[in-house]
Formats: sequence, C-alpha cells, structure tokens
Amino acid sequence: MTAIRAWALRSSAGWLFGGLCVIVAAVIVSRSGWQWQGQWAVSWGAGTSIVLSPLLAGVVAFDVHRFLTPGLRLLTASAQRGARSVVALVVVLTVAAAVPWFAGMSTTSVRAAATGAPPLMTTWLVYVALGVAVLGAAASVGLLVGTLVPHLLAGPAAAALVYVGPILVLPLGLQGILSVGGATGPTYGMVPNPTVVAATLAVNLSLMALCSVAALGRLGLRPSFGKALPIALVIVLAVSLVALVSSDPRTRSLTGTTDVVCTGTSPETCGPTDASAVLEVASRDLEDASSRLTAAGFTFPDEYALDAPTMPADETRGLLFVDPTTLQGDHMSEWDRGLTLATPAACPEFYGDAVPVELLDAQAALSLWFVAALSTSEDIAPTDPDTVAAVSTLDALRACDSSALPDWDYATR
Amino acid sequence: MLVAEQVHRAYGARSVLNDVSITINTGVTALLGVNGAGKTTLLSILAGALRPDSGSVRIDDEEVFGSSASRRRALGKVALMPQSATFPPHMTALEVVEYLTWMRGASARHARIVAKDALRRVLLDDRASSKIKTLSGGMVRRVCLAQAIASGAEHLCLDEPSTGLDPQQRRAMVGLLAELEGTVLLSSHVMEDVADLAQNVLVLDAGAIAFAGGLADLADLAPDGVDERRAEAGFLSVLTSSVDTTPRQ
Repeated sequence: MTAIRAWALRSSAGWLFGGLCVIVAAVIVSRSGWQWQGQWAVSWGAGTSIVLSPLLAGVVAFDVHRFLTPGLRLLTASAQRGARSVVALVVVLTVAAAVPWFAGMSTTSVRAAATGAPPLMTTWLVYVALGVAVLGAAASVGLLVGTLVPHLLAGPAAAALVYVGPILVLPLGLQGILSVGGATGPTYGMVPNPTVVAATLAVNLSLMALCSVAALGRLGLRPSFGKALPIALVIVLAVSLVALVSSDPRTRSLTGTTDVVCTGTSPETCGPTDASAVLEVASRDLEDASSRLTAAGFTFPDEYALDAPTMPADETRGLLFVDPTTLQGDHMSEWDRGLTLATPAACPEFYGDAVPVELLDAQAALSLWFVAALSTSEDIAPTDPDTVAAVSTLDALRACDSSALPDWDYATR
Repeated sequence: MLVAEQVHRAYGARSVLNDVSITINTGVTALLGVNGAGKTTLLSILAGALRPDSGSVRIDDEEVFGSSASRRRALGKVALMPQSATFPPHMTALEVVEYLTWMRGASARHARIVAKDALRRVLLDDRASSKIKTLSGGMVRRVCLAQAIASGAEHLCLDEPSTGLDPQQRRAMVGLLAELEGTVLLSSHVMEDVADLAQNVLVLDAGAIAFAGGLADLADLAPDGVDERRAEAGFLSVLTSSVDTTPRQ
C-alpha cells in the first residue's frame, strides 16, 4: 500500500472532500446570477483563505496527530520513504480540499463564459495559483502544528492560527498576505497586481517549504541540504514581505486594465472588455428610459462609461453603474438605471480629494426621482415643478457646476 | 554488522548516551539495562530513527547519518521494532505492515506480498483484515514484529518485544524471535528470554557500556554460590560494579 493510497483510504480526506463538495454545490445552486458573474467567479478565491485554509490546516494537524503516533514516528524517521509518506498525507488532504474549491470556481466561470461574460483567463489562472499556494501554506502550518502539539487540540490550534494569522499581520501593512483576495463586488477592468501576486506567491510557497522542513525535522526526517534551504527560504520570505509592505495599498490587490470596448448608439456604453455583456444590457435599458425622459425635456449624454479604474474623468460622458448581481433578467436594476441617468458626466470633482457633497446630494436626489418617474407608465409632465427642477439638476450635473443646482431636494420629500 | 562509534546523545542537559562504541555481529545480541539506561535511545540511533549529537553509526560500512545515498542504503538494511507499538487504530494489520514495508523502499506490489507473509509468520494471517483497534495488546506487538520482518532487513533492532505480554504470548513471541536470521539486537528486561535467545550480551548502564561479551561470560560474573539464574546474577553484578566505579550522570 503506497502512502497516497493509505492516506486516501484512512485519513480524513474522504470526509473533507465529500463535505466540501456538498457545500460548494449548495453555494452554486443557492445563488442565481452566476452567469453574469464572470468576475465574481474569482471571489471564490477569497473563500480559500477565509474558510478553506483554516479548515485544511486543522484537518491536517488533526490527522498528523492521529496517524503519526509515537511508534509510527520512529518507524517513519528510520524509513527511506519517511519524508515522502508524511508529505503524502499533507498532499492528499490538500487535494481533497482544493478539488471542490477548484470545481466551484470552474463551474461559475464556465457558466459565465457560456453567456459571454467570462472572467479574464489570466485573472482566473492567477487566482487558481494563489489558491493552491495559500492552501499549501495552510496545510504545511497544520503539519507543523500537528508535530508540535501532542494533543487532539492540534486541529483547532492550527485552524485558529491560520484564521488569525492574516488578521495579526494587518498592523504591519501586510493585509492579504495569507489570502487569495478575490472580490466582493464587480471588478470589471481590474486585474491582479502582478508584483503583489508574485510576492504573495513567494511568501506562501516559502512559508509552505519552511513549515514542511521544520515539521520533517521535528519528525527526525532531517533532509540532507542542511541549513542552506531554510536560510534561502527565509531570505525569499523577507524579500517578499518587503515587496508587499512597500507596494501601493490602493493597488495592493487589483490594478486597472486599459482595453475598452463600446456598444450601442443612443447611448453608447463603454467599458473594459470583460464587461461587454452588461454593456449591451445597459445600452438597451438606457435607450428605453432616456427616450421617455427626453420627451419631458431631459438631455442625456451620448456616451456612458462604466465606473471602473480605467475610465478617467470626462465631462462629455456619463458614468455607468451596473452591478451584475442586481441584474433582473436581461435588465438593469431600477436603482442602477436611476443612478446612471443621474450621473451624466464623469466630473473631475468625483475623482478629487475633496468630497463634492453638493453634486453627490443632487445626484442622489435625481436618482431617486428617476426611479420613481420610471416606475409608472404615466407620462412625465414637463411643466410639473419637480420635473422642471429635475431637468435643471441634470443640466447642472452635466456641467459639473454645483452653483447651477436649483434649490430642490427631492430626497427629503 | 552494526557499528557505533563514540555515540553521544543528550535530551536537554541530561546525557543519555555517553560516547558509546559497540559492534554487533550476526546472531542475537541482548541489550540489557535498567529503566532509563538508554536502551531505547541506542536502538533508535542504531536503526537510524534518532540522530546522535555526535558519533557515527555504520551498517555494513554504510553511514546511517552520512550522505543521502549512504543513509538510504543503510536504512535498507535495518528495521526497528519500537517499544511503543502504537499504530493508527483505523488501519488494518495488513495495511500497517504493507504501508511500513512500502515506506522502507519496497514496491507497492512487493510490499503487499511480504506483508501477508510476515503476518503469517507471526500467526496473524487470520486477523490481517482486522483493524488495529480490535486487536489485543499481544497481537499489536506481533504486528509490530511483522513490520520489522516484512522489511527483509538483515539487521533488526527490537525494543523489548515481549514486554506487556502474558506468559503464553511471551513464549510465542520468543518462539518467533528464535526463528529470525541475520543480526538481531533486542532489549529486554526478561532474563529468561535473553537466556533462550541471545548468544551475546551488552549491558548499558547510565548511558555507557558496562559489559560486552557472551552470555556465558555474563554468567561467569555471578557471585560464588549462585547456582541458578546465573546470567541474571551476573547482570546485577555488572550493575553493582558499575555503580561503584562509574560516575552516574
């Protein structure tokens, strides 16, 4: 019986794999809209670090304590394949955890690709690599804890350590160091920061190797490379940490891409290429809405650009807000549509250090008015005082001129 | 041939082995000593399971703690039966022996064949599919011996193989040990077993070799007037003289 077969049959790998498969399936089935969530698929990455890593570390520590009994430790230390058999246990458990996670991430990505909103392949691959590295590091921490804590508490101790570790390093400016990251909202036009990705990979891989070497040393399986490898790993770890600490916190996780695509004519909607599917929906919905509003005296820009880092301030075009998770069938949500119509210009003030309170208040009020006006099938009366004020507000927002805003506060009515 | 030279090992500030040098030849050699004398540590070091702080161990001229290649070759020639026969309780006897045999370098197929044969030799072939947790203490000791036998190693280090067994099981174990070939170094507290099995004896006291010689030589050290259990009396005599002449750590 090889180590892989022995551990696959007798370790906690079966329970871990089965349990995670059920959880992943439940997550996929319980939520709709995955087809629009090309970028959301990468949010599975965050799950790796938040849930899966502590769980894996705990299970590894528990099994190391459970299987590497004192008798077996002695025999392992005196066997030719001792180190390999210990590593095999960690690998089997890591694979049992990684495969369901990978399957979930792949499923959502495939569903997204089927409807024209695939995640960027490079982004997807980066998150897979980061996920594997983070899981590997967590498993190795579990291995080390399992060899250090001669008690069933090894499992909870390892899980707690891996869960708390990323939190403890926050004050050092090392957020995200032991996690994959991911997204909790749309990330159109964003790609992982390559420097940070490389440093994070290096940190996790060197941590994995260091913990493994230390654990194998604890088990009497001192490798023949002496102190050379641990020293090299410590250097890699230190350099990677310095690279992370010195990176710009604003682009720590994601940075913008520059490829832009436009669709539709009245209005034209533009955004990063990975947002092409939602751009079509937005263009269609905005055309329908603006045609009703134009008859009441409103004037809208010819172009809306998706609110993304790649879209600089530009007063000639409006800002498009589309949260893919709030899409209702093939339509924007009424709130996204209202907010987009109420943002007819990407004013420079929106990107400055000072908060343009008056412009934002007017935008919010106008957004609510559009939501209310478009929610009924009644014609919008051009002479209605609210309509007049709304038209003036929209014109002021198009000009990015807060002094031209009328004395109208629809939001407080 | 197992050779240890100037082997020293300490646990923290406490020295357990003090520059031990021994040579173990083919046949059964008994390693005697009181509790805490360093027997388990010495056996573990000879089997490559524990690294000495200083000194060297060679098995048929291969350094156990030398280069990777040398260590691999040395470990292929020695097997350890640890005193603590704790195995994963959910694995079957066959799985344990098979797994440990593979771990020692055998192919998966060969490991299965020799594991079955080793369990047959220790009279556990009918319990090969039983989980460790369902076996008695004596049976687990036999599983522990089976994994050493299955290795096919020419040198066996057996740490108190009959400890904890009832008289019947002990006799069965002695019978099994008597069939072993090659170099066997076994530690024991049971002088009857030693008398039945060993040709040579090492007495370890306070981490140092206090006696090395034949069983008859040990019996010759028995005080005058002792006619029975002379080897045991000789052993006690060695310990007494060792206390008188050797400073304990």
